[in-house]
Amino acid sequence: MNIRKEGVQRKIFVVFAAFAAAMVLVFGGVTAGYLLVNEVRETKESLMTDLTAISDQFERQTRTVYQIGKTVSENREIQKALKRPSGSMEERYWDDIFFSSELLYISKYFDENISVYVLGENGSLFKSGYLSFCQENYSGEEWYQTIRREKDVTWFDIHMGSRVAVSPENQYISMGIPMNDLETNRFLGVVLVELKVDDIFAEYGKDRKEKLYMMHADHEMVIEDSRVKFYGAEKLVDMNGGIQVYEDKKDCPAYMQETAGQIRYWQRDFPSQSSFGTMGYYASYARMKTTEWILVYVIRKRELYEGVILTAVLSLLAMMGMLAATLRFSFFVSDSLTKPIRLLRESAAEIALGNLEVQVPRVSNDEIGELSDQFNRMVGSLKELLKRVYEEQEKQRAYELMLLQAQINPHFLYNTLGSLQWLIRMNQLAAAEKMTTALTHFFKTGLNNGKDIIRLREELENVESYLTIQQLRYKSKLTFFVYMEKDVEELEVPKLILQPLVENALYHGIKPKEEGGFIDIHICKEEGRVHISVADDGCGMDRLSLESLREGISKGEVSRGDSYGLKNVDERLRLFFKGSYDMKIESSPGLGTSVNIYFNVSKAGSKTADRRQNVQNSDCG
Amino acid sequence: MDMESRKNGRDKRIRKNRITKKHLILMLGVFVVFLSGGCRQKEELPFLAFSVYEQKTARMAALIGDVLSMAREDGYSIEWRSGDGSIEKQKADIRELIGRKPEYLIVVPIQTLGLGEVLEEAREQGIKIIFLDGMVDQEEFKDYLTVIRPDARWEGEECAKLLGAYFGGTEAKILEIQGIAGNSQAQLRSVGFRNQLCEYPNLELTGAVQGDFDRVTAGSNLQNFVEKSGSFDGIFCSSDEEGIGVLSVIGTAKGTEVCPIVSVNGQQDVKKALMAGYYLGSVESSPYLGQELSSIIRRDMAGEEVEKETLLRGVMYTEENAKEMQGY
Repeated sequence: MNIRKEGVQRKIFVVFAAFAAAMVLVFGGVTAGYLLVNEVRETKESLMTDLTAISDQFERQTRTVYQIGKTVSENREIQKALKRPSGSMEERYWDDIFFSSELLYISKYFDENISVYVLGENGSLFKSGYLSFCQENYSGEEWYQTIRREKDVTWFDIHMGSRVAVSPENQYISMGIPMNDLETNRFLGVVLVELKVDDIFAEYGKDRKEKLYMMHADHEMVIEDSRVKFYGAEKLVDMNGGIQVYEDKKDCPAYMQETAGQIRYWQRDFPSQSSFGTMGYYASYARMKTTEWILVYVIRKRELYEGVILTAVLSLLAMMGMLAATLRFSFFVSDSLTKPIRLLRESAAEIALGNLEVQVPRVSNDEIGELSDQFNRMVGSLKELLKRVYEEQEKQRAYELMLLQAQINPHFLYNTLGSLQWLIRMNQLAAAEKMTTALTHFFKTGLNNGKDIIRLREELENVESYLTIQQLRYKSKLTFFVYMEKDVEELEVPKLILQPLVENALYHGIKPKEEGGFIDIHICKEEGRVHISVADDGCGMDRLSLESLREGISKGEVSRGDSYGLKNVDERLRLFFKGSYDMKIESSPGLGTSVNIYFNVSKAGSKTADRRQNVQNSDCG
Repeated sequence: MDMESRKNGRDKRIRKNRITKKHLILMLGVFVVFLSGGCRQKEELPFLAFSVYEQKTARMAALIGDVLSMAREDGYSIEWRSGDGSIEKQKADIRELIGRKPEYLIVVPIQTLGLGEVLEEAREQGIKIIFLDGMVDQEEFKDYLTVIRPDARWEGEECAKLLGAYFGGTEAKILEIQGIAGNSQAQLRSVGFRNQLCEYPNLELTGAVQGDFDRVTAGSNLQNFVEKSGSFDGIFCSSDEEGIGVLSVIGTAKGTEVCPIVSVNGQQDVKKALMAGYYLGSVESSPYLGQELSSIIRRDMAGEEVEKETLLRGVMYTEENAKEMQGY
């Protein structure tokens, strides 16, 4: 983007871009902030929701396990069978089949994933499940003795495979209740209830970023990818695909150590369900009422904020994109607004350098478009005006050139010099001297030191010289009279305006008249205007010739040979006096012709005054 | 430097060159040995995928345990899934297992029909399919490597023979408790039993109810049959689970009266019933198919041709030889 350092476009661009960028940043920032906060909150809520769901399910099922265990342990029929001394094999096996069927119906009634086993001291083995017992006597097992020692319920944490049956590699939690005679409190055997938990963990633990971690009074365990790992006080047992013992406590995952430490720190007085953050992890936990186990969902803070970071990056990218678009748009707007103005400015500069061919293209239909049109019209007018001025100046120069040529008309000069020669030969020296003086004066005033403007007095002197020469040539055939009022003598007019008129009067009016004639030049002021009259009593013109002459002058179509001098005078006076000038030609056959020129005194006077003022100013320096 | 010393120097260089060539050859040899050794080391044992249609019964628990033990003993890695009695679940399981790119897919099919599509998907990916303890319909899928299963037809025949011997020439009504509908083993047992029963004109097949290889289903369906005044003198069950189910119902209904029950499998609960004298007999249908499976995989890996079908036959157990019964 090419932004000028100064100028309207830059100002518009800066203001517009700053405003738009501020809007984008504020809006983007608020949106991103909202998204970020929301994302974190939702992730945490989702963590707690999932944990609540799994702990509720766990709680429900462990409660069911407890109910089944209690129901079976207090079943009088089963107690009766266990109280029976080891009788015949036939009786015992029938009891096994019969009570196993009973237990199967009890188990089916509560939950199919729960298996109940009754292991009697008298050798009876009842089971609810389809699985076969893996041995015939369990009284020597450590867990059996643990159940026997406890007065109430013993919970065993997650273990791989059933404790009593030949089972596939499933995970179970189990609960044991000692079965004591309801009347004598004699120990009859144990009830072992096992709950298959694979499905629960598969639902909540598989393919998740969170780790499901379970704390127990004696040790902790963690469930990863729906498989369980135990961490004991001295060893870590990996139950995934066989048993593997880690002797080193350092093998315990860091998140377990951190979260376990935190929960233990609060253990004295912490709510049954809450969330907290450690150095590197965020954890939600729920304490189960039936088993007192604590289920913990642990997620790395890095993973927790993964979505947040992604949202932030996307928001930032979106904001940068919007910002770039805003800057581009700002440039476009400022450019589109200032482009016509810039074009005008550049065009004006071109005109200043004299190029009037410039045209500003109309780029819009608004006020700026109108401005372009007006500018183009103005340039057109200026061009027209200058053309006209140029043409007028050209004309003026042409006329002046022609006048000069007329002044040094070879015929006039030849005739005058011929007359002068004749006068000298005739020894009329006084007349010759007069003619020579008049000729000298005529050329002197005609040239006027190269100036175009001349005082009326000087102009009249020039024409008097001319008439004097002509009178000496034509003797008594020409008489003339010259009059000029005193107060118009100093008025300025273009030079050589009278001589062409007088020459016309002489050659077209007097000369063709045999008896000669009279030329009267009268210059005076009438009603605020200067009136110059050149009249003769020559042969005059008929009406048609007069009208033709008038029309020719008004249209500028006078041929060079006829009244070209008259047209020349008319044009120059019109250029000089503009609208304040008039020329009237009157003529009658046999009576003569008069040419009357009128122009405003103020016009002539003001020009003179202005010029004088200028001269004074320049003199003052 | 004189000519002699130059000559010695040249000789040394030549000797040096000879040593270098020897070294090169030696290094090349070591490299080849290393490569061949490396290649042998890279010969990883195949990954096995194992799909069973259920896992809750003792027989299936034993079968799963045996296959997993075999795989671990032989050093194979194995993933297994249970269909929990649903063909849809088993199809989903197989698809998931296919995704793990196993070399062998071992399937215990729930039914003869319905798995063809997913098995075809497995075959298209170059996975070798082995049917265990059952098979699918040949029209549906026949590009399997092998099938290892008990001779179910023979098992049915043996049951009929035992009932025939029990009743002698006495006329009797026999009730059939059928296994999972559509299961190949259940169908073959039924066919074998019925065909053999024809050899005993005094024995009449009075009816057949569904047992689904499940003791609860078999028990409740038998109860319905009894309530509808269906009478019978002996029962053939497609599996021991069904046999235990009907035994608990008959025991409740008839007290100590013994009704001859014959079934197939040879599991622990039936062993007890046999020893207690409440059961007529059970044909052992061994779930321990791991050894046969291991042998087949080994031979196939060695490039040997393996037989398309391996049929296994067990022993008929009665009260007399019940103590010898392994009873899984």
